[in-house]
Amino acid sequence: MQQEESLVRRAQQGEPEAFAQLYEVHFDRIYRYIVLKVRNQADAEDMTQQVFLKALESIGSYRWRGMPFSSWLFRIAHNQVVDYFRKRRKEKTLPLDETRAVSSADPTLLAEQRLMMEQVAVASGQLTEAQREVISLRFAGGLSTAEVAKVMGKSEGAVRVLQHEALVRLRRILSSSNEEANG
Amino acid sequence: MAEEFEHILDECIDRLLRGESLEQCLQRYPEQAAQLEPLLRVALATQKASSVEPRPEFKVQARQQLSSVLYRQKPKAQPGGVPLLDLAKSRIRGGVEGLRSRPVWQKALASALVVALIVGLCLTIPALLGQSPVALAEELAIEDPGVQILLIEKDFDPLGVHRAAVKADGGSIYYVYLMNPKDDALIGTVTVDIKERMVTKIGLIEGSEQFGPVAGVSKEDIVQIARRHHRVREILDNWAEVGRMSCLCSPQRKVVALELRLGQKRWLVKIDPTEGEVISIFER
Repeated sequence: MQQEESLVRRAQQGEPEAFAQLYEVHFDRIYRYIVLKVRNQADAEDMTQQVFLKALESIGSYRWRGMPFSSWLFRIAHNQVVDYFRKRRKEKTLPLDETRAVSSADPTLLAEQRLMMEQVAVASGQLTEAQREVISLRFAGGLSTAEVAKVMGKSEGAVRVLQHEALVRLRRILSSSNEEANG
Repeated sequence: MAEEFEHILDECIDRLLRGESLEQCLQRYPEQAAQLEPLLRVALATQKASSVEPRPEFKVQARQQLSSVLYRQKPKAQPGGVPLLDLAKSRIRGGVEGLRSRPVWQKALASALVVALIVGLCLTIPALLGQSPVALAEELAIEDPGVQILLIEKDFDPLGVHRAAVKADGGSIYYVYLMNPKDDALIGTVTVDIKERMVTKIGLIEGSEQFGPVAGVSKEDIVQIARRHHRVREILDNWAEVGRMSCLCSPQRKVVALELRLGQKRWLVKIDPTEGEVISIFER
């Protein structure tokens, strides 16, 4: 954390290498968070780049007090996603067919993962907005509960409650859809 | 009670995200295991479903794009002088703010430094803002990666080479004469378009090679070829910025010189686009 604080300070002083290191640490997580929300690879790629350009533009205004850098960055990503859906409200969500899974080397695993991604995406659609956000930030973004709380402007306790409720609900939806599939 | 369970669930999720197994998590909390297990299985499935990664090509392209923005923003003395002015402003502002809480001798010293900085800037900025076309042509010529590679190959230190520019026509074309500082012999001629800020032709006196702008090959293609070399890949992956490209193409041979920059460091990469390979890498 201290190392990140010093990187942020150096980036604020205009050191490109420091910003580059912050970019390396957070790039994959930001992309993952966005692509699972917008479910379109090309748009997710554009938006990920935009997040970092915005961060670079406004890093001078970032203050460490109480808000970890990752939370600040994810808040920018969240705002991008909100803007995206505001603009595309009437358009249909695209499938995740082009998204690259980590296990893409094995075609069977890849197919399984895509199926699982679809199932989880459909099930997540039945969660409340806040529950969905907690799940995205926690599992796709890899943020801690404290960091999620800062992004969402809630207490850590409230985030833990939302996380619990979301998992209970996801479990119910996923098991009922599995029962339907099995006959 | 519910609050305690939420804490335990949260801790187990943290452990799962860090790579601990489901069984290890359950062993820590045997009393809650029955309630925890189904939720942690859903958590694992969600984590697995979220394990997507960006395309490697996209990562490379995104990194290059950000890199070019980052290094363009870096404050340095450039023609036009605006970044230098910003830097000066911030230094002066910082210096004045810092004066408030310091001892008298430090204040005096700081004031002297601020005055010296202001005087220095008064002398430097007009020179930078009003850089003469001749000086600009000379700078563009000597900074060109093709010229640098040729001088290195002929064993001339680019920094030691004398140069003198003359205007070639009524427009923006200048000839820069490269002179050997040892005996003032003419090494070659570089044609520079200062409006386009580029070298259009490089001619060496020794030998009959005439070099010109790159034709029929894009910078992206050249970067792709360069990346095939492990050293170039290493440099680019370490956030180097792709700089200027210059062609050393003649009827006899076709070579492209590409510049890579990382902070103060600079590399010149010589590439054969026909063979699709890197010929050499010079570190400056």
